[in-house]
Amino acid sequence: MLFFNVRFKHLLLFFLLLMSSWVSAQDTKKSHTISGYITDGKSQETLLGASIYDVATMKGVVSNNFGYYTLKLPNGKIQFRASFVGYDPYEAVFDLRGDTLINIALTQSNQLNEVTVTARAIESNVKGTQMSTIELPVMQLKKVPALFGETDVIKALQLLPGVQSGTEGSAGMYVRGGGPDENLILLDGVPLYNVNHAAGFFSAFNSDAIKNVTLYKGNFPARFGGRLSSVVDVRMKDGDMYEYHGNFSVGLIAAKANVEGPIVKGKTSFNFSFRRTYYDLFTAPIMNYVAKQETGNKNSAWGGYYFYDLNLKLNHKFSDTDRLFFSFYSGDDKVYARVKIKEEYSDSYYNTGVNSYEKMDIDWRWGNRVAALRWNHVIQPNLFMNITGAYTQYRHYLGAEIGQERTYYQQGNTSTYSESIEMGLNSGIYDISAKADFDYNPFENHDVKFGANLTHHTYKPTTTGVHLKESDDDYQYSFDTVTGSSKIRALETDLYAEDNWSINNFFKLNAGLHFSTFTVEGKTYPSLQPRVSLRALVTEDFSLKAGYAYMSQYIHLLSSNAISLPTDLWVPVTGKIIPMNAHQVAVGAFYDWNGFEFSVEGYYKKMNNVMEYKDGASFFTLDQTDWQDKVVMGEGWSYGIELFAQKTIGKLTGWVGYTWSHANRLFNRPGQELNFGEVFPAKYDRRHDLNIVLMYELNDRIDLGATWIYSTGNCATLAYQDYHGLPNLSSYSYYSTIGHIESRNNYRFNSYQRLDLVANFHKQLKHCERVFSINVYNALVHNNPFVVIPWETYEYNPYTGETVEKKVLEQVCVFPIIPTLSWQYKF
Amino acid sequence: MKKQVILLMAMMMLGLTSCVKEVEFDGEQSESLLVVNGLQQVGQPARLCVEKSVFFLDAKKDCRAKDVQVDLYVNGDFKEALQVRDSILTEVYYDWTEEGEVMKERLLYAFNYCEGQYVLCAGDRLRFEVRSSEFDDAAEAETTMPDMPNVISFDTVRVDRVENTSTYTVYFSLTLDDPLGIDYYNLCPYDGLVGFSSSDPVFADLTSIEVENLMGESSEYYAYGPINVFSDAYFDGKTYSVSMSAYSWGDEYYEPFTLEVSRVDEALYQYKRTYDAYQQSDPESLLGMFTEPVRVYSNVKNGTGVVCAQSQPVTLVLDFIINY
Repeated sequence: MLFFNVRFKHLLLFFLLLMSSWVSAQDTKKSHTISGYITDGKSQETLLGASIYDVATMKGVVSNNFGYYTLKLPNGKIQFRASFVGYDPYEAVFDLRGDTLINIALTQSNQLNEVTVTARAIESNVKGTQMSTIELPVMQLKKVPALFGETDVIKALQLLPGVQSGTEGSAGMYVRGGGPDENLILLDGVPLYNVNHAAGFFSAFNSDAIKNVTLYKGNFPARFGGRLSSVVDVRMKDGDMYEYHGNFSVGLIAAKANVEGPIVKGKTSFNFSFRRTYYDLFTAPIMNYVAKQETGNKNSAWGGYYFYDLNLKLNHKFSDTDRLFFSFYSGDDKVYARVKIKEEYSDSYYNTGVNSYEKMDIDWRWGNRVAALRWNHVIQPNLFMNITGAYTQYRHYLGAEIGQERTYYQQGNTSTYSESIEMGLNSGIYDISAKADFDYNPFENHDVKFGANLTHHTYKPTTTGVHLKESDDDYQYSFDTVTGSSKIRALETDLYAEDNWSINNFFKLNAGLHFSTFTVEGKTYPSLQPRVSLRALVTEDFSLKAGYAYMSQYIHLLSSNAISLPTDLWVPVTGKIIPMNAHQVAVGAFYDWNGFEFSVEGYYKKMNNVMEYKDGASFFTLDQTDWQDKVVMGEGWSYGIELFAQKTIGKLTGWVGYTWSHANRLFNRPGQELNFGEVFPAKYDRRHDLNIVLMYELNDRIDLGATWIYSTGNCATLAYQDYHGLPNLSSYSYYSTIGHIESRNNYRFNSYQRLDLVANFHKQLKHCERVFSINVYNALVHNNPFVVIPWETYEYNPYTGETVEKKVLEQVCVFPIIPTLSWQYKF
Repeated sequence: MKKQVILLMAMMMLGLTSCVKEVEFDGEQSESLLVVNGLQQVGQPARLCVEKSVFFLDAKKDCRAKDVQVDLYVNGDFKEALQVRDSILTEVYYDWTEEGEVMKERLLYAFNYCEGQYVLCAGDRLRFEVRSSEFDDAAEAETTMPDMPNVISFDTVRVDRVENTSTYTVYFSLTLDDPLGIDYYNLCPYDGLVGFSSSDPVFADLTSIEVENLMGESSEYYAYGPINVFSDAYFDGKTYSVSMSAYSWGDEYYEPFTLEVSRVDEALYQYKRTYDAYQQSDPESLLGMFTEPVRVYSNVKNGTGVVCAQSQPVTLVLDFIINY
């Protein structure tokens, strides 16, 4: 607490100095505010991150997450310019004499787009204070090859330096040595807990519904909090205010549709997207047909797996100062199976028989719901307010019912025996939150953001209900029980303030403070988190940047190491499990040259109280051990260098990203040792990661894309030496063999390499445009390891006639090569 | 099993082709380790099993190390060199040949068995130095022979007839007077007491590998083998009664319950704990697929294995009365 007080005093002093600088920063010359919304000229879709600036002084801002901007400039002649990727810039020259409202509608450019990873004039690669931040326009992602042709924002992020995927095909993200639970994934500002479908092979985001994705992997602005390693800010499309549009596409495993348009022209719009896999629609009837054919219609079997996403956004414009948004997302995965078996046996001689009926029902589903109501209000031209009320939930349910009924008859008498067991396993997390965010432009050169957030969390770790029934003519037995951890309720508060301050032409500073508290089980954890980043503009094309961020995290994901499963469990800090926190420093150099952008960043991240399962613990949560007794806490640190070069203009665009990194863990607290208290590499510690992404626009009708990925193999724990255990430990273990594990994560899989290709063929039909795509995932058929297992086989020796035991190392590869065709119709 | 489950999951989820291929091990191949194992018992001579570990992809069964030499030091002084002999275990199997079914014998396991003559006493501090011409450094292990436990009583608490059966559940308790300091105990059931179960908190550290436990039906510890160790962390320096229960098989099979109670060293406790967890994490088992890997405890320097100690046991007999 003393440390907290000392640090708080220092930060208070820092803020007082900052406030005094605001006062001194006020020019003697009178200044006024230019403000307004910046939108697409055709659809009125707001444009986020557009640059608005005075060309003469290069003073400017970028539009916020709602397309609103506010720019304070001195009175006089202004050479006003607004620009956004893929749009013709808007320019106006006028004499600024008072506060001015300019709503700008940009028109889409016919020229070749500046693509993929954007540079902004004001907050560009070189000129912005922010580093370790990358914005992905979703429209361009469709030119990047994708697994099954399903454009995936999370997988696109994995192609950037500093971001690593988990296993083959997985949508898990490991940012700068952090864990998969250390990423704050926001959908329209609301946290989404489970971002995976199908064990992580797909992310929960339907690209048709998404407008913009921004990744922060370090130097986090003060407005974000709650995770250690990254923030992925995903914004849904608002919907066209004037015209109806849509598209429908069919791929190898999923079909999806998107439609948007006005409800009241110019006032209210909607955007609706739906995606569903349809693999089960074919497999379930086939399975049932086979079962019936084989048993003469006696048995039936019906089962499959699917996932769906539904996105809805409503947007109403009351006036130039007031807007209301409603966002809704629902996504579920479901595994279902229903098996019925009928058997009859009779003996006519003895006049006896048995009729047996067995059934099994499995219902396993998991998914997210997110709903948010948002009100934008311009209080005054230089003060913008956004109020959000949101609900988010992640729920996992596994239900199974197994039963049988037998009727025995003998000499005219019948007796019946039946038994059934029903089991339900539930877990989930439910959040209700209220949030207020303000954008304030009090003085020239200062762009201030501040706000507050209050979230009520309800965590339901795992409850298991079992209902057992058994009966015959004379006997009845029934058993009911519910076991598991009880609900945990917690209250989280966040306060933040940050200032993006142009000190002079050379220095620009983004300084902020995030204060949060988390109250759980009668205990409150406070955390004061300073954030600062500084840019030094050496030349117009070259800058140096440095930054520091302190982050705290109050929830953990209990997860398997290899794959993302619905049994992965979000759990909060408790009286026993304390919050994680991380310090991260980063430095970088940024250079723009003739349509190319280059950057090099170095980082060091120290993480405290990171959590891992104990040796031998299992995330298989059917046992009675409290989850808190299965985990241990320790330290982690990571460091690395990221190189990034991209070409944004021309027919050929794309980027090359390379990461050299180390990520380590140390669990040496008394009673919480892992690896006998020695340092070991983190699961996804990889020395090298190289991604090359190329997109080529051959002509108006054909565009091509290719990605090539190389990375060091994942770590795994493998016992290199076998020996026999202590004899007579127990009757069955006399010959037991023990694998000697030298160290955790001591073995590395083979390196990972993959070449993906895509070709998109566009054709304008009478009423719509058709896009036919050919995707080839892993075109070089490289056997990338999903998992490597030591395995015992038996080999027959024809010379000796003996069958001998042989041990081998087997590598399972999930996707040898996946060619995919898909069709999309846009209207 | 793990391989099939992964493949099945991938196929079920995606219905796509996967592939499995044998890969060359291209990691840093580690050297063999000198393995030293032995449970030393008060009143018995020192005994060790010595072998060398084998690379995990080798199916080698003969684990004997060459020229093994074991020196025993007691309380810092050299006491004796243990006698070393080969121990070869074989099994008989039947093979079909042109001549029909033929009985054959094959090697199961061969190691070096070492035994001394000095009879170990409570309080002896033992140090073993194990050398082999195949290893540069001697493996070393130390342990101290514990005192006998102070058992106050061994009582029947209750006997319940199991409904609709001729068996009985016998609830009994063992009362110990525990001295201050960290102590470890072992319970070894035998004769009429084939095994026991207990939900006593002293067993909370031990992992039972019963499926019933995993499925949430019970949180009890099930004892079948001779090593059921627990620490006094729960009752250090106090008198404590450990609760257990077991099945009796009725009058016709009546045999009194016999339990051996001994004190053991920390090495045995840590070994048993990690060994049980290791068994659950077997990568070839279904559960192992979802389980974190485990390093089994070792107190052998320059090698692996465990050298641990056990006091002379107190043998307790429980002659209970069945209430009809």
